[in-house]
Amino acid sequence: MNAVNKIVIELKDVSKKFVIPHEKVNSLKSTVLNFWKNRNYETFYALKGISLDVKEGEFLGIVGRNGSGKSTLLKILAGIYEPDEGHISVKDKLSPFLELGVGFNGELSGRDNIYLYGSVLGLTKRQIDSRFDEIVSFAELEKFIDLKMKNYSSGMFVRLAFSVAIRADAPILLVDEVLAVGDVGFRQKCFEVFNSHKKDGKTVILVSHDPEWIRKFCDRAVLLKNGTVHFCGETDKAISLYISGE
Amino acid sequence: MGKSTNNNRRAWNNIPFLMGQLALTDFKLRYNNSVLGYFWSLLNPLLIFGVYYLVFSVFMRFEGISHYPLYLLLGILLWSYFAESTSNGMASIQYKASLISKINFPKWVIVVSSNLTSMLTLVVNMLIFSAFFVISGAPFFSGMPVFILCLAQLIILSMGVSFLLSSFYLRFRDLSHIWGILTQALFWLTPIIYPPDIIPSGFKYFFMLNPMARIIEDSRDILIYGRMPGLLDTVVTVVIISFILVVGIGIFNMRARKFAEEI
Repeated sequence: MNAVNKIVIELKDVSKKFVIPHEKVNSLKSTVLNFWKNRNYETFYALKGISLDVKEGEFLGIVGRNGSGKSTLLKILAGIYEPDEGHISVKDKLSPFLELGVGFNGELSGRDNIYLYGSVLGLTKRQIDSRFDEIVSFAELEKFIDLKMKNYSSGMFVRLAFSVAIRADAPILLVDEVLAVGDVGFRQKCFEVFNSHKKDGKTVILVSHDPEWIRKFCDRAVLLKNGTVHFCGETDKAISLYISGE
Repeated sequence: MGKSTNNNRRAWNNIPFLMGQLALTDFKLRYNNSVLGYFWSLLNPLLIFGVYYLVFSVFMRFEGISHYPLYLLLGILLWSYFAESTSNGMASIQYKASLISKINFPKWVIVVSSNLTSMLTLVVNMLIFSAFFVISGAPFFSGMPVFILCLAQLIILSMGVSFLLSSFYLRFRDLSHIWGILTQALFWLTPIIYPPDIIPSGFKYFFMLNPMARIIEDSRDILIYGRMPGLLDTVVTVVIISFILVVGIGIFNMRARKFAEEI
């Protein structure tokens, strides 16, 4: 790692709140009918005053219990949500692995789905064309690539999704729990991919419930608690705090 | 209000590719699992045409419309594009909910690709019209290529309405029912099966401010009667259509940043 690494992601006092109405109104009819009624709602801060810098080439782990704001933070990093308060700046191309196979469609063949998913991830046709064989062989699906995806096993599905996603080739990767799936062999492959990313100096943000993975890869970890940064620093410390529940 | 600076931009040449992929997928899925496949989409307007032709040409008669079958068919085909593309465009954001909540990408691509899918149907519908036209033995005119401009107006209008409707669809799910009823009403308020001449002259001007009425009338004039539409009327229609598109895109852009939370 470089001594002077530039900051690629910067969050300053980022808050995200959700309005939770006591009664959900999602039709025009009920909006008109309830126009004069007092509408009760609660404001819930999913994230509150998060400040965080991520440096280039860093492997940052994010841990926290359910409801601590991990997913909201990831969605803000990925640009899916906009923060309500504060400022976020992402200075390089970022590829989110929030869920594998977003947009995959069972009625289409594996081949069609590679192009569909690749286009969603931001690849151009030419890029997919040139990486196609690589994608198929990494997923070990040479024989099944023209089969409709609804006939794939869940393992095949995930392998193909992961295989396309890692070709998206962005300098920043956002990874959420995708490692939890797949058999031993596939996990080993993921392991190798992340190791090579680490060597290539890519920035990776990894969210996982599995302390083992965080410990294995991350230079630094963030522990989220009730939407705030409870601890940020040494990986081992963050994990022991997370496990002890403090 | 929070600020976000994001350099996570897509390559420019990804956008048309993505749009094409989404449109193609929709198209494949829609006709993949039906025995008659693509023909379902043709059958619908043709069936409507058959029934209306029977009722309004054999049972009742509009006097003085030459080539009434062509007149009727063209109106129905253009209208069915408007109805189909706007109702699909409206729901397209909901249909792609899983994408929107997992990946950051330009939402307008979804609406445009949904309209592209409908355009594939429009192309085939126009081929069918050409076949009917040739069979009917109606004369050809040198001004026929001007019809492309009518199609352009139709496509832009549908796009604008799609943007407008899809902006609010996640918030108001009953919009699909409301729009369903409205398109039914608009169908009868647009001169599709009857000529605009039967409208009392005091109302006719306002009636023809409906861009669909003007587009359908102009298309018939150009293709069936070899007349060019008036410049002023065209300018007024283009202004109305552009207004709808600009407002539609404006509202869509304002609302799009909240789509992921509304799903």
